[in-house]
Amino acid sequence: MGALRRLRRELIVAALMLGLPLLLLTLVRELFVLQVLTFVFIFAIYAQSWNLAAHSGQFSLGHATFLGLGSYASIIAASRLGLAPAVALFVGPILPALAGFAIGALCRRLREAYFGMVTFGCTAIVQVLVVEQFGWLTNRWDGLDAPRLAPEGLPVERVAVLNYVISLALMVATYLVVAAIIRSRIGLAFVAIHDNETVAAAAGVSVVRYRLLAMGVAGYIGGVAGALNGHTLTRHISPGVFGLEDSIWPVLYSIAGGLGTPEGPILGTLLVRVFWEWALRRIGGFDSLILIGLMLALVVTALPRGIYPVFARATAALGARLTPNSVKQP
Amino acid sequence: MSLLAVRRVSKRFGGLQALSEIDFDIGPGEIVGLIGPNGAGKSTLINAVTGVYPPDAGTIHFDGHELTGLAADRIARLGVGRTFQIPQPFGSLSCLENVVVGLLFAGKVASVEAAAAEARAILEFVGLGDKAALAPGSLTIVDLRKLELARALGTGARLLLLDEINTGLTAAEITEAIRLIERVKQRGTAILMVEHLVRVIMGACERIIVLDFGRKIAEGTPDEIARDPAVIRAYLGGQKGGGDAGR
Repeated sequence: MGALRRLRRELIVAALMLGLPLLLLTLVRELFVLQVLTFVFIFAIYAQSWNLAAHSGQFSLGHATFLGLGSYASIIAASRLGLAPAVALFVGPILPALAGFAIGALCRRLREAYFGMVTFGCTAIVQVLVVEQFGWLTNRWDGLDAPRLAPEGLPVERVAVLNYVISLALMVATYLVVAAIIRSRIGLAFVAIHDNETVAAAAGVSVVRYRLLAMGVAGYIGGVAGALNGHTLTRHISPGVFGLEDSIWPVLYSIAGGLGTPEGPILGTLLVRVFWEWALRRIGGFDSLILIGLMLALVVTALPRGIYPVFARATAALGARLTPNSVKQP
Repeated sequence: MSLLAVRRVSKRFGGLQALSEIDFDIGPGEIVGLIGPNGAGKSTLINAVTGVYPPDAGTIHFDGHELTGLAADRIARLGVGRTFQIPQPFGSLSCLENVVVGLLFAGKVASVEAAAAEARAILEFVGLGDKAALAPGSLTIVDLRKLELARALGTGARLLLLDEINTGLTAAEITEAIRLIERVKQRGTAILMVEHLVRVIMGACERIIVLDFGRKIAEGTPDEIARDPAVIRAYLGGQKGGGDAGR
């Protein structure tokens, strides 16, 4: 009961997060719009994973490891072991969760830029492992085709709607899981470690254990995003996933949205991605890259804590008028 | 039966012998001072006991447990609390949450709600009752020291190691701090306090240990220490002069 009361605000936010896109679905059926938003939902899950690790002071620059391994493991579980994609989606991410523990253990004494460098290096190692050592399973550089999540025989429009709804539901579920973790004693340990490991240990926090926990959960969540992406949007996975780009995106989404909050990564992914898609259509590839760089520079200089705090203040003012006895967040 | 037993503890940093063969005991509920000139090894000794820098040689026992080789968080959970010389609050947490962390993870309080209630009582006790919701970044140095103490108290420690908790405070603030430390002692907590200000420690402690260049050069009651020729030499003969000792 206590946990539910503590999460009352998050439950309201989750209801809105679920309700508004479903409402939109009744108004808009344009395939392109649905696909962009599905992408936003999936990558918001991915950003959520990065944000959780960062919450415990672990700023990963190799998060593509989790995205890629989740995708590969889920696709292989579906096509080789015959699992339904809807099941493989949750079984596959066990592999990146284990990778999260392993990388966390390898980096347990590292912080900040050093942690980032080693996690980045791990992605390169994993890519080589996937292509060379496990080439017989992964079809090397050609990659694997992914069985689709939607049942066979469904028309394209219905598939797009189904992918949209499932990705949305998983994004909201991830949001609630991450919010519950952040608001619990585990989240308190993460922040204590983030702020100062020596003092956290002096206060009795098992620093290494909680750091590993954060990386394991982040690995699982990042893996779900990768698996979902493979079974819905890309329908294919290749070793290119372990490149720099997919490691950088969640950092940008999270920083733009606001670090350390479970809402920030979602808002950041939505804004950056929608802006990006708009810029691509209107301006074209290279110029829009410049534009997005400028936008991010603007966000971090004008709003170093991201867009979410501004957004939260606005909604809190609204919320205070709706619920006079609302509990103030610590 | 001593609560803390330190035997022949040594620690070397590169070419510097920071601690050599330190021996001492602290009994339950006792308040002991640890003094010495700058660089004598006082903070290193605290770091050795709390597992931040494990000693190279020697043993440390606390309440029947061997601490040597244990991780810092494990030592905290066994009941050894500490404050840091430079206050190091968790900057992203409120004052209340700073204390809650210690209560939850070392103080063995089961729920966040129960810990919050207890943290409030501890903040009252140290005189920060009205600052529970504030971020530590907005506190003065005195209040930051009180917050350090509150977090350490939250761990439920039976032995508290206070590292220069009075440095930088005014005379009036020191008097207040000493009164607070005496109230902590009355709760049955043993205290080892590192102090630069000899006058402060002479008044507050039952027994004093003096370090110089990583060695224990004296141990005794405040009166004995004040008359000890080795102590006088360490304080008056060193480059630091007697400025600190006279304050």
